[in-house]
This record gives sequence, C-alpha cells and structure tokens, in this order.
Amino acid sequence: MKKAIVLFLLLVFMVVLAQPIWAAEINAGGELKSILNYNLQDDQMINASTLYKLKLETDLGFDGKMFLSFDGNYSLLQQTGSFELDEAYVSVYLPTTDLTIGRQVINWGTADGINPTNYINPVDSSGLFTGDEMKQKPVLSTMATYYGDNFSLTGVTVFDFVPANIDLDMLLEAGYQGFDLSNVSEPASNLENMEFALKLETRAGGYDLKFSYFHGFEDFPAIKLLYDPQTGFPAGEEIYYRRVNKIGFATAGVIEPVGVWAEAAYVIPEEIQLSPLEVMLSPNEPYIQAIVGSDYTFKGGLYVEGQYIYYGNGSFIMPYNVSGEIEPGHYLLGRLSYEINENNRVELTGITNLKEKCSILMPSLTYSLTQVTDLVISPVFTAGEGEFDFLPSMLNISVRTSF
Amino acid sequence: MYKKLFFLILAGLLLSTVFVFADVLTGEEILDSLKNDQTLTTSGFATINLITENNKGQRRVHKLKIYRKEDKNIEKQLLEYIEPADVAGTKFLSLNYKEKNENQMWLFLPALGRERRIAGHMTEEKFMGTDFTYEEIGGGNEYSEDYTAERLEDEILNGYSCYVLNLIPQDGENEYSRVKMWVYQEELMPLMIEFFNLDNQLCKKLTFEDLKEQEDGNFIPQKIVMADELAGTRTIVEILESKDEEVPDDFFTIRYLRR
Repeated sequence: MKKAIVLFLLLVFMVVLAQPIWAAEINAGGELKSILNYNLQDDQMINASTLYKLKLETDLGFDGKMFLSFDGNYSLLQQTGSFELDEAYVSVYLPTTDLTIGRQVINWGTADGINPTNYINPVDSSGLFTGDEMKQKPVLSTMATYYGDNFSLTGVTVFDFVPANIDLDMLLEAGYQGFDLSNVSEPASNLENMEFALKLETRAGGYDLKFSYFHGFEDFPAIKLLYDPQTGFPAGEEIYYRRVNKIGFATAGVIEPVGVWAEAAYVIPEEIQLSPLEVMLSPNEPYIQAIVGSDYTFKGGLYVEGQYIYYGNGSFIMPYNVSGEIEPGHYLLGRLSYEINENNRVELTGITNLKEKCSILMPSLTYSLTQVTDLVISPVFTAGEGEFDFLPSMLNISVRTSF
Repeated sequence: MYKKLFFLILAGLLLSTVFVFADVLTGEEILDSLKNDQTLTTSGFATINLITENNKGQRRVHKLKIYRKEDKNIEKQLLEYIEPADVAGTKFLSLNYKEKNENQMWLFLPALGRERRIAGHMTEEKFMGTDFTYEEIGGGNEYSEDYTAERLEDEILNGYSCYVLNLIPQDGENEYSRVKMWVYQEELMPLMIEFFNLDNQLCKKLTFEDLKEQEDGNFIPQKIVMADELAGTRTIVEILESKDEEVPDDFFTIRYLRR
C-alpha cells in the first residue's frame, strides 16, 4: 500500500514536471557531503562515505508548491550505496488554510536538537556523532493548518507508520543481547492504525505558545521479558509496537537580553498488564519529557546556549532499561559558537548525564573553502563512565557543498 | 511704466525672501524633512545583492528579498535569502512594536524545517556577517527621533550640493558619540553618513551612490556602501529592484516564514 501511494505520487510529479510551462520554473538544488570517521581508540577508519541530496521544487500555477527530494549515499569501505526517495509533497495555500499532502517531515517544538513535542517523524540519530546531522524520517501524511487572527490550528494524519532506526550495535554495546529487533511486525496501514496529531499555536505576552496532542505508536518497539521461574533467567521476549498518547506544550520568547524556551510532553504509553514473571524494558507508566533552555549572544559574536533535559523514561539515547527499573534521566546540553572571521567558525557542543556523571564533548572547526563549501573537523570525546561508553573517541572530517 | 517697475521690484523682493528663508533651514528642520533616510525602502520591497568584503578584499555575495511595512504602531520587516544555495530559503521576520518598545524576531532555517525565536538585543548585532546591524539593514534608523541636529557649512559632495548636519544622540544609550550627515539639497536625502564611536573615532561610513529617478519622481540610490573604517571591511548593497508599494500583512507572519 505504501509503495503504491509513493509510486503514484512520483508519477504525478513526473507528469507535472514534464509540462513545459512549469518545467521552466523548477528550482533544482542539493547538497553533497563526504564524511570520514576515524575511531581513535581502535586506531581504524570506520566510515568513509559520500552523502548526497537532490531537491526539486516548483511553484504551481495557483498558490502552492511541489517539493521532491532524494537521498543517496555510497560507502567506500563497504562498497555499497543507496538512492531513495526522501520527501515528495504538494502544498496548497488557501485563504485561511495551508494544506500539505505527501511524504514529508513535519517539525514541531521550540528547543534545540531534542524536541519532546516533535511527535510525527521518527528521529534517525545515526549521524549525530559521526559528522552528519540528526535527521527525521519522512512519513506519508496530510497536514492542514488553519490560521486565525492570533492563533493557528494544525491537524496531521499519518497514513503509514514509520519506525525509528534501531542501532543494533549500540544496543549490543549497552548490554542488550539476544533480542531480535530486526523483524518486528509494524502496525498495518489501515484506518484503525492511523496516527494523528493536533497543535494549537498562539502568542501572548510576547511568548510563542504551542499546545499539542498525539495519538499513534511509539517509534521503538516495546520489549517485554519473560523469566523462567526455574532458572530466574530470561526465557523469551515479546516485542511489538505499542500505542501511545502524548500531550505537549512548548513556548519560546525573550527575557531581554536572553532567548528562553521550554518544551514538555506527558507521554502515556499503552499499559501492559504484567505477571510476576514478566518485566517491561520499556516504560509501562506515564512519564514526562521536558527541556528548558536559554541562549545569549555576546557583543563580539560569541553565542552561548544551555539546556536542561529531563527524561522521565530514563535515557534520551537508549529506548530501553536493561534493569527494568526506570529512573529519570537528567542532562545538560551546552553549545558555544564563535565566528573567528567569515571563513572560520569554532563550536563546542557538550552533553552531560548529571546522574551518571559522564559526558560527550564535540568541538568542531568549520572552514569555508568557498562561499558554499565547508570543511568541518570535529572530534568526539567521552568523559566519565556511564551511558556514553558505547561511543568511542572519534575524529570526524567532512566536506560539504551546496548547489 | 513706474507701476510696472514697482511690481517687478516687489516680485523680486518677494522671491529673494523665499530664497533667504529656504537657505536658513535649521538642522532640525532638515532632519525632520529627510526623505529616504532609511537604508532601504521605508515601506515596500526590494531585491538586493548583499556583498561583504573583508580587509583583504575577498568578497561574498548574497541575494535577498526585503519587505518592509511601517505604520505608527508597528514596524514589520521580512528578509528572504535567494542565493547562494547554502542559505537559500532562510528567512528573518522582525516585528517592532514601537509603543511597547518591543522587538520580536524569528529566523526560519530550511534545514531545521521550522522557525526559531531570537533575542531582541540582536538588533544591535551585525546582520549575517555584514557591517550593518539588524536594525540598519531593515531601515530601522529614526534619526529625527534619536538625534538633535546642528547645521554646519554646506559642501559639494560628488558634484551634489549638500547640507551638512552634525547629529548628537538624544540619550546616553547610543553607541555613537555623534553622526555627520551630508544631505542632498534638492532631494533632501542623505548621500553620506559618518558614524563616530564614543572615543570620537570615525568607525563607520555609509554612502548612497548611483542615484536613479523613479516613476514617482523620487530618487533612490542603486548602491549603498557601509564601510567599517576600523576593521577595514565593507558591505555593499546593490539594489536590483525596489518598489514603494503596499506589502500585504500576510508577508509578515509566521505562516509566510514556513512556506
């Protein structure tokens, strides 16, 4: 069903783009990025790949646009590559309502980098520590936003469930062994399994206010362990995608001279009834995820940002708790950025787990080779022992260009 | 015959008083009468090339669309990057509520896919690596409100007869100790503005060049140059297209940022 809809959309785009009048107004662009990842601990190259993105956009004859993008990559070490459809959607702008239909990424929230109210698209964090970006996987959906005088109301329906990427190596490093997470059945694409979200936005007292709700499935499958009463060891597991409801709030504003924001979601997963021999590795009770942050730019251009992150479900990296006991996670995320001159920028990003007292530090230097081409050198270091142990110290080098 | 001669002399006297009065315009009167004292259009839109030049002469070129709308209560501004590819689609929206003295600003980054709220004090910071502040690039200068003017001796600048004004800030929060302005007499528009820092050093120089007459008879500079005299850098604004026409309020909304 999913493939049929995507193929249909592609066919529509190709027919439209082939029209001579509209074909003259297509804006084509994209990005090319080459990445090298070197494991400093093991002294070996772990990744050498080229990523590319192609974007096509055209205004429609009426008030609207079409957007098409493709993502590709080629790994020099593994000598494999891929080229896939990324986003493909049509937007129509009516007098009071904007509609977008198709395969798209919808971004909600006010915090920087981690957004508890960004419900719709699962996050692909595989590039987070390797010189790429944290991406979101597009989903086939309809988004309609009605704009009133000082408010807007957005409704989103998702037709086809898309799970988050599960980094099996990372789970193994963290001690999750023996789980087959590669073949978990996804919810079927039908009306009953459709996901939807609502968002009400307004502005009051100089602050942006966003209230939201989501009903759908969790991005990661829930794991229930069954213990053998004789041995006391796990004897099996049940793994499936579980329903979830989320209620969220986000705000952003300024308390001169600093920018401030806050974002929180109350997450209500489907509760699983457990027998005494069963343990959930996923949260089985409602929990809160929240972020509070602030930023400031000094005279001279030094940019400073700090965020406090509370994850009631434990870790913001690991979706499971091997102990079965969930203790909330507390983190600090900080960022410094300074432009030395128009060609050079230095940044330092750090994440600290306040409970386990371990950190990830990511300094980076960006050098502009040309106006549209950057060289980025960014090592990754970990400090302390704890949840970030899975991550080796690395050196990431990338060259990216836009066209 | 004597009657005709009498009326001729009277007419001559009357005309000469007009010229005398015109020539004794005070600095304040000239400042209050300024046209096109904004970096760009007061209300309307413009497409520009924004060229930054470092102290080694290396250049970067960005193409932008700028939309402005101003009434007595609120000043609205939208900037949209068109080129080059790495910044294309980036948009900046600013709403300045004059009575509340509150400036609300958002930056839309295509890679982020949503807008981000940014702090108001940024208006005094350099806009996107240029020699203009956020306030200056959008034409947020209100010289008649922020300065008192003293008229100096007239000068000829690049062949144009100019009034010369010495502007002193009205309050102590201004980053400049004084501003010197050359005003083209025929059109009452600035042709050059020198900014002096609190140490009375010439720190910035703003020039308006290549004057072109519009359909409505007004003159618009096709090239505006801001030079940072201390850093040795320059920012050049080449106006590719400019129209002083009403911009719909829809442009100055979060909705438009997201499109």
